[in-house]
Amino acid sequence: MSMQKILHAEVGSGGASSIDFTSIPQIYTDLYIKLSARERDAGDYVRFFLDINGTNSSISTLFVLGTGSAPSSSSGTNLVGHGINRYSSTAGVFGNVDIYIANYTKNANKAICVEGVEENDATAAYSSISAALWSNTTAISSISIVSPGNIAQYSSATLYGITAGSDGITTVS
Amino acid sequence: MATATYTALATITLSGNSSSVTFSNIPTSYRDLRVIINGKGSIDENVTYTINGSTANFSWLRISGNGSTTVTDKNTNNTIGRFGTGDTLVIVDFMDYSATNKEKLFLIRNNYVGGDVRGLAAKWGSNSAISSISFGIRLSGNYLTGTTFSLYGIAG
Repeated sequence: MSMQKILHAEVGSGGASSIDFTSIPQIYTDLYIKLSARERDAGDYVRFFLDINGTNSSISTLFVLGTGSAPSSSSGTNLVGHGINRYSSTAGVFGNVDIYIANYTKNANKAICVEGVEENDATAAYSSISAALWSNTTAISSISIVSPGNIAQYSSATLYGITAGSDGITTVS
Repeated sequence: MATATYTALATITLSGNSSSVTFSNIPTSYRDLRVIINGKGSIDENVTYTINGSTANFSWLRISGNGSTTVTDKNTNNTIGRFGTGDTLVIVDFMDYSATNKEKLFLIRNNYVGGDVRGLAAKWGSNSAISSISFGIRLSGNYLTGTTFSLYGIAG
């Protein structure tokens, strides 16, 4: 099967500063993370960042962000996406985020696709698409999802490995 | 035994520069398709789409941002999205690609930190099942050595 679950992580009582995936097997082609999360602390950061191989450096990002009014675009370093439900958002609601990392073991920079959406029973809620680049040719062995507002209990993330290959029928040239 | 739902169909890593890459003989036994393209181009230009040998009957709309400005527009051509001279990741999802009673919708995410981030909705206005897909670069651009193209079938 070309898509396999590597690890599922749930945030326990008291929350956590991050959700961590370590010792990632180097046997897949791409990585895919599905995140359901909410901020634990006041601050309404919405954004999250990734620590890759223990560092949050060498990441550059472009965003398009929608809040319920006109869209905007911004850039950043370290911060990767939006979609972790804000502390002040409707209680019990968790945002959804998809993170796709292509060729994570390749001796090349790592391009990342992020989509995130917050749900809020109010006039404003955040959704965004992000392009990110980890400018490092090292294979990825660990990923941490970090929120400046910390991550609430019951948040969860699942890491999948995607393996490219052939079915023996389809051709490519 | 669990049914496979996400199946690798074909993949290529370019050993030399190439003006286009084509997936052919795509089986009709899946519900949706996903294409992952990762690498660099010789020029920063639009991606050209050819489906079943046709460059006609395409339409699309997009939203994009370059870090300061957002753009939304639409068109009726097959030059959809962008492939940059820096590290670029393109994800294309074709829904119901093998159906013969509907036109084909596909979603594209373009990720090029050196240029912009794009979300696009596109349509190929044909009821034919998709059996081949070609990706080129407008204005005679090339995909550079090392660029990867992977196709997956998703069961439904």
